[in-house]
Amino acid sequence: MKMTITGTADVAKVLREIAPREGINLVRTTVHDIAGQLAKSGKKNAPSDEGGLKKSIKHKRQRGKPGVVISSVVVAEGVTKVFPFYWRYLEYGQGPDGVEHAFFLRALQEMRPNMDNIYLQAFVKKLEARLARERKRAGK
Amino acid sequence: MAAEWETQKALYTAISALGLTVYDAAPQVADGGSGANWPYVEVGAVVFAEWDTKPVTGFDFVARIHTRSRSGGMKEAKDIQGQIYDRMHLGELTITGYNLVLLRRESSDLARMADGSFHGICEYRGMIEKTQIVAHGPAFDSGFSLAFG
Repeated sequence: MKMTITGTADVAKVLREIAPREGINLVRTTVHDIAGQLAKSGKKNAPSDEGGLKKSIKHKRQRGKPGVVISSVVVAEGVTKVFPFYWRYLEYGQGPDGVEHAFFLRALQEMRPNMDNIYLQAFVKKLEARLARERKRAGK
Repeated sequence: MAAEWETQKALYTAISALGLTVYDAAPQVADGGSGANWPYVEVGAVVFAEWDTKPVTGFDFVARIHTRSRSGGMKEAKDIQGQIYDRMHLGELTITGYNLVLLRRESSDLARMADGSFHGICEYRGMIEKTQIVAHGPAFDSGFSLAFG
C-alpha cells in the first residue's frame, strides 16, 4: 500500500478514517508531552529552597471525557516524600514575605508566543516515533 | 514608552477609578503587619510574552489582580472582584503608545488565609499592539497651489 500525506488536514483525515484509536492515542501523548514541557519550565522558574518544590512539579495524565484528553501540571509528593504545600504561597504571594514568584504563570507565558509550533513539533515527534515503531514491528 | 509600565499605569487607573484602594505593593508597618487600608486591590505579577506579527509589534500579557478583604466573609472580596470584572472583562484600557486588542478574565479564585482574611486572585489576559504612525506623502501646502475652474 502506498500512501502520500501532504498536510495536517490529510493527517487528520487518515487518522480519523484509518486509525481512530491510534489518533486519540497520538493526541494523548502529544498533550502529555506539552504538559511535560510546561512542568519543566515551571521547575526552572520555581524558587530554589531547602524543600522539594522543584522535584515535586510533575505532569500527570487525567481522565478526560470522550474526545477530550487532559494532562495537568501538578505539585505532588516528590522523591523527598514531603508534599510542598507552600507552593501556593510562593506562586500567589500569600506567604509572610508577600513575594509573588508566579513561576507557573511565567512558564505559561514563556510557551505562549511559540504555542502553535510547540503543538506541531510535539505531534510530529510522537507520530514519527509511532511510525518508526510500526516499521520495526513489521520488520522493515 | 515601556509597555510594561504603561500597562501597569492603565490597570491602576482603571481599577482606582472604581473607588477602590489600589496598590502596586501593599505597605507594611514596622512589625511586619499590614499597613494598608482594607479592603484593597493589588496589581500583582504582570507577565509579558512577545506577540509580534509581520507589520506590528505587540505583547500578550497576563495580569494578576489580587483582592484582599478582612470583612470576615467572602461577600466583600467577591463584590470587588465583580466590580473589576464589569470594568475590565472585554473592556477598554488606555495604554499610551499601544492599542488594546483584547482584554478578558481567564480565571478567578478566592481563598481564606490563615489570619482570617480573604484573598481573591483574578487573572486578566490582554493583547496589545504598538500604535502605528502612518506616514503621509508630501502635502500641497508648501508654496504650491492648485486652481480649478
